[in-house]
Amino acid sequence: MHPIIENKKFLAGYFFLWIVLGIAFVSFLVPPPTALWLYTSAYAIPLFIIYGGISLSAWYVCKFFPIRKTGIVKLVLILGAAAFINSSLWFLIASEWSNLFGEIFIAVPEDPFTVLNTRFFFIVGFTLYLLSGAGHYLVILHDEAQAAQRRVIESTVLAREAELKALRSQINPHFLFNSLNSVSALISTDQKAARRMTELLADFFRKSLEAGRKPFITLREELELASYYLDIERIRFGHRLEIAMKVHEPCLSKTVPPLILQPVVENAVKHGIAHLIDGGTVTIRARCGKKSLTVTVENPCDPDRPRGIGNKLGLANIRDRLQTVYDTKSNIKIKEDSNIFRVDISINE
Amino acid sequence: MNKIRTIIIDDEELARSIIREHLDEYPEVEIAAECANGFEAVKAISEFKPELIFLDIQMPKINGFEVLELLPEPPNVIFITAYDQYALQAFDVHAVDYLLKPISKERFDEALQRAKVKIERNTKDDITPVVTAAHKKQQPIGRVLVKDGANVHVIRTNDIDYIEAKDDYIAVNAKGKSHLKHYRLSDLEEELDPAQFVRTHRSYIVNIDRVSKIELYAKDSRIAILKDRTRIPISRANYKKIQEML
Repeated sequence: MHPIIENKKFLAGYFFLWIVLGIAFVSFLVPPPTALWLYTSAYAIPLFIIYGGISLSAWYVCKFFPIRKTGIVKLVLILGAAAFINSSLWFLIASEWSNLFGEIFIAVPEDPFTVLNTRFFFIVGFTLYLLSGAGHYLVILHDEAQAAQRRVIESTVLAREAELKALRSQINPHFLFNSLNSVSALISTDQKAARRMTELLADFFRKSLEAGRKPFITLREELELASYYLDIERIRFGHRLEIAMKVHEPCLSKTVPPLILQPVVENAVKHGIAHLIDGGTVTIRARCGKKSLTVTVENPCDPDRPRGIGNKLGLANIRDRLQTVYDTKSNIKIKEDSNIFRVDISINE
Repeated sequence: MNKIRTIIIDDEELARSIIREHLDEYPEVEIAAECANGFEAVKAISEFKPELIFLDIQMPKINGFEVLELLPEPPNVIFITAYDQYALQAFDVHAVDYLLKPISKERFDEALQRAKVKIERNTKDDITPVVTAAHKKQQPIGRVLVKDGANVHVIRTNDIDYIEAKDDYIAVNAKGKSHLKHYRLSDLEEELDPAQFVRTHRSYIVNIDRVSKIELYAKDSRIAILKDRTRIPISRANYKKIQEML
């Protein structure tokens, strides 16, 4: 929608400006206060209002040829051509209007069209159209800057929220208490394993805290975090949990928002493996192109498992985060069939 | 003196080992079996008839509450959970014994002492309200558990064709098989998804997706014919409701 037409106050102000312009131009050519000035103004003001309306069309030109993506030569040519066409149109309207004006006011001593001079409409029309184009570009740039600022604020707020949520889920009570229970059991049966588990827990919590503070981390760091988590769960689940990582080396240096993969991996264990008597393998795959990265987490699942809302909420949260950071250039796909649950996260820089 | 027979039920070996370790100090308690899932638990409890079980709530396939639901006479129970706000609340309300992971020696000793007193006096906590509350939380149910001897069958509600009441039992018909369950048809009706299952008759609930047509049987009485040609009676009072659903 046109930013000026949209707002009634803007529109009123805009046309007022054109009326003032009209009077100024007339006064410049025919000094006031004379009868000639009066009726030349009467003739010119409607024309300026009409041209004001015509000049609003510059917005479509500006919108169609964004200033950032159009070369300067092309820009000048296009705006010039538009200005020429529109000023010609104005000229034709002015000449028609002068005939009509002559018929209405028979006592007119001089044709105002000739008073104002034929070239006037071309030169003034051309210049004013160019100015209108420039004005519209300014409006568009201003709007864009505002939108960008809003997006930055929104994404900071969402990232902060996600960070909080991620932290809260790190301190997922189930995970924490079950892990502590395992440590407690290991202390009397396998002290080395007990020590290893406390170290893993400490590493895991420390890394998630660090990661949560950064806007981006490398896939290597994110996978490291997932490995700590999975190693801890492997102590708990024993042979029921197997892990397979198939990650292409170049993908490791790609960046991702922190803790974007972690909830997916946790879901794979909590809603997948934990519901299977014989367990299964959590597979993490990553492939990447020059500017793209796809990470896949796959796990077997029980189609009859009780379905809470927690899983869906977690995945919806990841979708929101991806959207604020990458706009539409990212995607999360969730697929469940023949007892396999699969999540694909794709990011295009 | 007879020893107290007990069974430890938890899907994590490490969690079971802690209970085992704590029980080392009680020679009067004998561990009859350890189970890693609900199926094993139902089997072992039917076989060993323990006086006491340690029962983890979160387990694959059949959770702790469902194990109890499947037992006609559940033994004394000490529940175990890492964290389940909902269950904990229910335990406190109904004064049922439970242990939190990581399991502390003090809490364990207290719970075991109380259990021993109950076993000596031959009394039991009433766990029915806790089990019912857990059951209600999952409505509409997506599956029905049926105990067949010592085995447990999990029947998906989507697979059910119809359910018939037979005295104190219900016969759940799914995939060409009929499974008996000690249950009330009206209770099951409440638990099933009302958009999918409809009571056609005092003794019948039908999966509406299975109905192929309804025929006039005699004056004023109708029958539903299922896709596998089973004929299910429809009472006059329920006919309108079924018509709306179809």
